Parts: sequence; C-alpha cells; structure tokens
Amino acid sequence: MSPLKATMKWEAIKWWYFIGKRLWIVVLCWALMFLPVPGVHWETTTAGMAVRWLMLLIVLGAGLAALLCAILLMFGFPLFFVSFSPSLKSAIMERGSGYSVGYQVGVRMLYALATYALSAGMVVVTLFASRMYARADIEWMAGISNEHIQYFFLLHINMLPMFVIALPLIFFMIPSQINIKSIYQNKWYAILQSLIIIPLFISVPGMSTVLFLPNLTEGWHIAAVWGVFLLSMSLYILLSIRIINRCSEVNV
Amino acid sequence: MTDAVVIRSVNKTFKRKVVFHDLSVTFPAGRVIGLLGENAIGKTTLLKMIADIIKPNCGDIFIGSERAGLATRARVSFMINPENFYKFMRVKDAVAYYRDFYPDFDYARAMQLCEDFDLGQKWKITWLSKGQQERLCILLCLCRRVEVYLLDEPVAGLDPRFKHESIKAMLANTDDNKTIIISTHLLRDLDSVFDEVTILTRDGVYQAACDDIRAGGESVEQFYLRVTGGNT
Repeated sequence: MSPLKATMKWEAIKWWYFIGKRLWIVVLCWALMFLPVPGVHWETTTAGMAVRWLMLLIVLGAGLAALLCAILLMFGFPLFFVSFSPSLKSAIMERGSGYSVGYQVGVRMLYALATYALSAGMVVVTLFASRMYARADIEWMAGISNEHIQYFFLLHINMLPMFVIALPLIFFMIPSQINIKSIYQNKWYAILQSLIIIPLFISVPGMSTVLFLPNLTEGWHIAAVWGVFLLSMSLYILLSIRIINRCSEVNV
Repeated sequence: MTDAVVIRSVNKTFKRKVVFHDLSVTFPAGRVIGLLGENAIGKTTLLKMIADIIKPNCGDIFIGSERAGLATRARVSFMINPENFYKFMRVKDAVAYYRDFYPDFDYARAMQLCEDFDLGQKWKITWLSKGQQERLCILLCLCRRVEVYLLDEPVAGLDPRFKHESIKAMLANTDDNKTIIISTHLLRDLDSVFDEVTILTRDGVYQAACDDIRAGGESVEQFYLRVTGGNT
C-alpha cells in the first residue's frame, strides 16, 4: 500500500473511532431539537402550555446537543493539532516507516478539516435552534415592561447554547492541551494556546448575538466582539504555525 | 566485518541532565548484541537515537554508511512500547497497520508468529496482559525485513515458554547482514543469544565478544558485574 493510501486509511479509521461512532447521539438530539412548531399561541390555551413545556424539554435537548458539540470539538481540537503534527503516539510507528512528515501532514490536514467542518456545522445548527427559541420567547417577554430586563433575557437566551459549548471547552481543553504538551515539546506553548482559546470562545457567543440580534446590540458591542474574536483567532493561528514548524523539526 | 551502526562523538542532554558526553561506539553487522548498563544510563535513549526517533544534540550516527535520518528509518526496526498503539486497535489491526506502513513487513510470518505467541487476532490490545502486549511488540518488530533490529527489554514480562519462543523468533532473524541490538537487564535469559555485549557505564563503554568472555571462564553476568563494579 502506498504511503498516501496507508495514511488516508488509518486517519479514516482513527476519525471513525474517535468521532464517527458518537454521531448518532448528536443526530438524535438534533431530531429532538427540531420537533416544535413555532408560531403556536401558547399563552392562553392548554395546548399552548403543552407546547411550551415541550419547548422547555427541547431546550434541554438543545443544551445536550450543544454539550455534545462541545465534546466533539474537544475531540476535534486536540485532533487538529495531533493531525497537524506527528503525534507522539504515532511518531514511532508511522514516522519510523521512513515516509516524510510533510507527506503525512497533508493527508491528516484533510481529515482535520473534515472534523472541523462537521463541528462547525453542528455549531451553526445549534445557533439556528437557539435563535428559534429566542424568537419564541420574545412573545413571552412582551409582557415584561422593563426594556433592560428584556434585553438581558434575550441576550442570554440566545447565547446560552453557545455558552454551554464554550464552558466545557474552556475547562476541559486546557488540561487536554497540556496533556499533549509532549507533542509541542514545550508546555508553555500549550498553556499559552489554551489561554488564547478562552477569549476566542467567549467572543463566539457574543458573535452569535451580533449576528442574530443585530438590532439589540450597540456599535461598541459589535466592535468589541469582533475585535476579540479576530485578535484571538489571529494569535491562535500564528501560534499554531509556530508549533507546526517546531514539530517539523523532527524532535518528537 | 562491516559496521551496522556507527556512533561518533554523540552528546545528548535532556534539559540539564547529560545522558551522553562524547559517546563513540560501533555495532558490527550480522551480530546479536546485548546492550547493557544500569538503570537510567541511556540504553533506551541510545536505541531511540539509532532509530532516529530522537536526535542527538551533536555528533554523528550512521546506519551502515548513511547518516541516521528519514531514509534510514526504513532500514531500522524499533520495538515500540505497547502504549504507542491506538486504544481501539486489536491484534489484527496492529498487524495490518504495520503491513500498510512498512513495505518490508512480512505479513505471513506475522500471522504465523501470532499463532506461536498465542495471540488471538480479535483480541483488543488494551485488554492484553503485559506479557501478551510485549509478545505483540516483539512480533511486529521482528516481522520487518530490515538490516538493524532494536529491541528494548523484549523479554522482561514473559514467562519461560514465551521467552523461549521470542528468542527463537529473534534468532530466526539473524544472518550475515542483520544486526540485532537488545537492551536488557535479564542477562541469564539472553546471554546464550548474544554474540557480543556493549556495556554503558559512567566511565565509558566496554565491548566484548561473548566467546572471549566465556573463554576467560566468566559468564556474561559475571563480566558485567566486574565491569560495572558490582560484587560477583
């Protein structure tokens, strides 16, 4: 088998075992999330109340789905780096084969991108779902007279699923990143990268608000959210490039 | 006799710890060589440097006439640790992995050795005992057709039957062109296998042919203890 085919085959197998096998749970949660029919007037009728309870259940489903997205992303992110750099685990076996590092990195990148596309797709779907709930709750909150409380609720209802994604990422990714410090050969890269992830993921929920509720946000809010996002993303990419270069220096 | 591995003026440090300072040693081709030395003297580090898994800070390592690097990895088979396998792998997956990545891998022999070593194809590697995992690692290392085999403590966790099977498999790999370097502390189990021993000490490197040692009325273990200053 050629090096390319061998790498593709085993990356696909790894991908399936680490991510693919967990997909059915996510699909199930999405199915639960999309059950409600928006537009039902629930405030005054029994049926409406039933729908409202159903919606609540579905919000829980959305939270669960978001959590699963987070878990997938947690798998996805370390995989991204492991994919970009020869992991310690596979270094002895695969690199021992005498194939060039660059050759394998290319193929791994494809799988890393596939993982990302999948994760991103799920995040987008979760965002749309969260928007749906926010719209539904606008009707519910119409009775609240205080404009600031309305704003507060709307903002957080919309951001909630993304926070559900962000928080586990922040808490769980840091140790997972440090665990793979052996790949980086330097724990400070791993720690620094983890620190950069925090504003990145905090800014993402903010972005969802900006994108989906533009009329409720002020100019400074949009600028701050986009600023933090772009800055942390840039740093993240720059640091990743540095790490990739470092890993390419063969010492594993 | 040609040299299979030449190490010239190698320095290796891990942060502040100096493992090797100006190490020079050669391993002749076509021999089974025991690499001996006390714990943390650098036996595994030396094997990994020969396999080009880690790099020396300075100095040269040659496999035959070629400097150790990407190209020489295809000529050296290094016995990996069981934890290097992916957790999802079964015995057959590990064998398939080697078959796919190493064009020199002898699949038919691997299948035969799986039977000889009592390893079920469908057994998950993480569920195997330490001894079974070691057998799998030995099997994979020896089933490549290369010039240099590097085995790090290959029989440490094996019972007498599988020690015998492993030694038989190792000896089947020997010929005029193939060199086997075995790092071990179990001298009594393996001294009949060795043609030569290389002993790493704090004071330097000692090399001797096992026939010469035995001709002097010593066992390999007694020779080792004398060189390293232990009691005989």
